[in-house]
Amino acid sequence: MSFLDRLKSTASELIDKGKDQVLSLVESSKIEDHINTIINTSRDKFIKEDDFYWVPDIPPSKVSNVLNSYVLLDEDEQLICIYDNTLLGVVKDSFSFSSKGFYWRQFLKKGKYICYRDIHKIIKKENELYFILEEGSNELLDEWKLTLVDSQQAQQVNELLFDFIENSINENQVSNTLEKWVKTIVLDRELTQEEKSAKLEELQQTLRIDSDSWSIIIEEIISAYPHIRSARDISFFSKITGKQAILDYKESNKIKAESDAKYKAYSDKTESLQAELNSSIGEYGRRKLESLKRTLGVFLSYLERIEQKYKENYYELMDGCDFPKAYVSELGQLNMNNSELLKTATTTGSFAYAAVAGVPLVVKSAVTYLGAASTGTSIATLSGAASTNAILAWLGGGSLAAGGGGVAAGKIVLAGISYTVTGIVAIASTGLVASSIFDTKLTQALDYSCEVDIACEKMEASWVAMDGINRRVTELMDVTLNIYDKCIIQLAQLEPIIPQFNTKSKEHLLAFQKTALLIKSISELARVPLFDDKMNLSGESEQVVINTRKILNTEL
Amino acid sequence: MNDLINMGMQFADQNNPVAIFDNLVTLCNDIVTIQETEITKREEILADKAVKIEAIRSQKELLMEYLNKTFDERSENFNKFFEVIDNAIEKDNIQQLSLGLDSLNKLAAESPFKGLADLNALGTALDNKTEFDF
Repeated sequence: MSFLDRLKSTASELIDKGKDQVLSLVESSKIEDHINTIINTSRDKFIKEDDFYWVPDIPPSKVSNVLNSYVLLDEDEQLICIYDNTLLGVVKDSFSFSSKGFYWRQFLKKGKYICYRDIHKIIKKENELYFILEEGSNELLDEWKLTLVDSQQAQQVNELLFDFIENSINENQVSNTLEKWVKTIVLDRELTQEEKSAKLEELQQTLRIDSDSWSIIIEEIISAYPHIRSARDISFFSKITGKQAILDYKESNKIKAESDAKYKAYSDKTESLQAELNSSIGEYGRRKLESLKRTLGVFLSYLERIEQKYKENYYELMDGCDFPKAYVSELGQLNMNNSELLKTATTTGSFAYAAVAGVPLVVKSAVTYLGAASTGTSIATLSGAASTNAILAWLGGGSLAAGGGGVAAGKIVLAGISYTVTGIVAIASTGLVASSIFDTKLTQALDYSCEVDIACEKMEASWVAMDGINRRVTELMDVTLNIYDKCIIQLAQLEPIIPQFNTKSKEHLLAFQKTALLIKSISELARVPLFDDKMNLSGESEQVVINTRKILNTEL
Repeated sequence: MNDLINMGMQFADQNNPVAIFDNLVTLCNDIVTIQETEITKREEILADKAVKIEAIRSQKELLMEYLNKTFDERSENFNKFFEVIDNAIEKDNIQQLSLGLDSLNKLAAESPFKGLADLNALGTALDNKTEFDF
């Protein structure tokens, strides 16, 4: 159990006991200090011949007389001064001053006692002293009357009583003294630790209070200390133990654990959404490539056959279909990275080229065909880096990507091949997931939970952004597939007439033009990026991309 | 917090009442100071959190509203273009087909998020009290 807990648990049990113990110790110690003062200052008022006896010179017989007749001392009480006019064993008037109060016995009357601190006032009338116990009262009661020998003795005793009363220690004085002292110490921030320690030691030695009682006293004093009480209206120890955020590690850990759980839930969902989005983008890229193979690939093979046959008016034909020469020559400038020739084929439909030509197409221009009809190998397997690069390079010939064309540009356009590119796309589009999510300095529970709350809020916002990207992907996918369907239909209509294509035939030209326009559309759709050149939603700088890429790749 | 705990541990180890009280008074002073500091700090943290979360939510709501409206409008336009294209194919109208596909491709190429960037730029301009020239 910590010191604070121990103190709290025992305080209620020891509080009264401790206080009484303190008071008695204080009284005895203070009186001892003052006894000498009293003796030194008052003793001369009485001489032994007046039957006054002072410590340490009180005869034992006198002590015995008073103790046997009217004086009953407590354990910590001591006699200081006695007046005893017993003569020949006959006790007449006698009174005694102790460290706590005044004892007296009148002839033929019972002994009486009054505590110094209970005496509010003493009224002298001739040779009589009346003790007033109530504040504001002047009633003279016989019960509290002391009759002396004469007026002079009454005056002497009155003065002596005054000395004792003034120097007696009562409960209020104890607390007032301590409170005043504590106030001085606590308020005085100029005091050094050494100076405070010196004051403490001095008082502690004076009061001779044990540590347990002392701690309890300080608890009471500080709990009633105006400075603290006015500042926060709390008691010292209860506030310490009640300050969950500061001292209760369990509560702080609980808050942190709850914050951690919340953050993990949000992070998991964000990762899940990102994975779904990446998958969606990847699927779009795959479908797009597939569509190109089945449409553009087939159409280009038709073009080649037509070109071979009608070379002289080939470009007229192309011009008529709004197929710019640059477009076609662009195809011719692509470099093949491998010499492997692949077939263009479809696994379904009636226009499998292999069925028409009977032999694999030999591509003389720089366009690559991807297919797997003859071998049965899946397209994914065939789409090795070398084979795909050609298509990607062709696709990347547009004005989309930073840095110009080539394979890298093609990858960006497809945005489904490379995870890095996909990650950039997915995260860059949020613009709202900041690096502050990963604040490493969360030392306080509230600060930590607030940081987590803000981070989770940002992640929620990123979900909206990711949904936006998903909708964009869906939009392009739908449009592409719609045009793809139209291309397939037109290719099916065009295919039968290719072997006997007649440029003079209006029907042939119409079929060709419709097909060419749709093929051109799908090839342009394939070049459309998901985002603008900056590839983010908010239009912020690339720094957002870089930062969020870091987050995605390393920490989320 | 660590300072307080350490101080408490010092308490527990001390048998000297002078040192105990000295530490207690020091702790009392520190507690008061820390309380005031921590309360201020917490208020600042909560206020900061409220501001940031409000800003994030505003952005999120703006984004949500913008995306809903934009994609709904685009979907409607794509449908219209497909009607034109289908009609052109059916009627063998090459010119109409060319125009329809061209419009379709232009819309597809236009980023649906472009308007958001413009909104952000407008918002920034408004924040910066940019002088607009009409």
